[in-house]
Amino acid sequence: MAQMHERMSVAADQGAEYVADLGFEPAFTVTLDYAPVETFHSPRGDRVFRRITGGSVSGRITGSVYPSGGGEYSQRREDAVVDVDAHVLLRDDSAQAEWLYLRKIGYSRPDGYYRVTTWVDADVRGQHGWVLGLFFIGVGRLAADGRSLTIDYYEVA
Amino acid sequence: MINRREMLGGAAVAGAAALAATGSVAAAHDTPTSAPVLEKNGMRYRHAFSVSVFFRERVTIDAPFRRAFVPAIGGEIWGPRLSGVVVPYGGADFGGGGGPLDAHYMFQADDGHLIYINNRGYMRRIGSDPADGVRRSVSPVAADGTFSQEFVSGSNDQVPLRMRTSPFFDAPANSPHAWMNSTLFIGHGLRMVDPDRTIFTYYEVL
Repeated sequence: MAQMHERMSVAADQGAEYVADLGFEPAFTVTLDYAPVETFHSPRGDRVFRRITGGSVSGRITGSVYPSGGGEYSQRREDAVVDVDAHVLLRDDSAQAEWLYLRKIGYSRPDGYYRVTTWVDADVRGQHGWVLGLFFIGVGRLAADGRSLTIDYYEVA
Repeated sequence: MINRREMLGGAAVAGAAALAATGSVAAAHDTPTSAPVLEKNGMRYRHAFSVSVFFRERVTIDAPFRRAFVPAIGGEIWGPRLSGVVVPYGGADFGGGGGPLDAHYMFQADDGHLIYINNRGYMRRIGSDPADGVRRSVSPVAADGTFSQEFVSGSNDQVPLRMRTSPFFDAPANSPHAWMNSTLFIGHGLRMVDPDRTIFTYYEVL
């Protein structure tokens, strides 16, 4: 039997009134274009590399995916679930062409479940300050040919 | 350079592994739960469990990226899909202190299994400007060279706060909790005083 750790408790916390409501508000949609997937086996599983070659963002942020230097460095685990991990640069379509950084982590499962959490960094001097500190929940759909991914992002209300 | 034969062979092996694993992953996600499925703007989710985490110490380190240290001194977990305790002093929030949260600590389920949580998200005063982070000042250094590293966190009653998190879990493979290894969650945190604690409500994203 495992060592059992001590419990701290306030019984009233289990009242139904403390089950908080949460919801999802649409924020933006990102489409990533991928170069052909490249994979190698490492001690951590299969590293699944997809170079990001372009794409677009629409919704509360509109612009494009910078085609040079973004990538997805996911890992296929023993149970065939992929731990998704990507780093992406965006530019908005304003005259300033502001840069934004997008990081996503999450799960891509064999049953088609593709869910990620994303943080976006924007310059505090620019027009996208509303994203700062927030995270966004994304639902991804990989194209049949594996060459692009569309992610619908929601803010957690 | 990978030739086509190796690629096809590799794909076949990976395909078979994926097929075999699909069963176990699907089974892991097939655990019955009493929680109703909710839907908002096309997103489906349901209550997974709630957690109360108790606190005592609070420290800040005013590095260029401000860092806080707030240990989880204990707590408990209840709800449709998990029951257990928060391992006393099994970890802490090591995030920005009121801004970005980045907590690492441990759960222990009632069946004895340990589950690691990395809880990332934010806690902010409603109406605050996140850009203040680059304009912040630090508390002064006294004549004797000492400075305060205390940090005070209020309750929702004192300061209206908005706390949302996206926790990631590592649960034992082949345990009843393995589903947590490939499920995205969202969380809501409510600060409480007397005793000092936060009540988290976690939903699985379906």
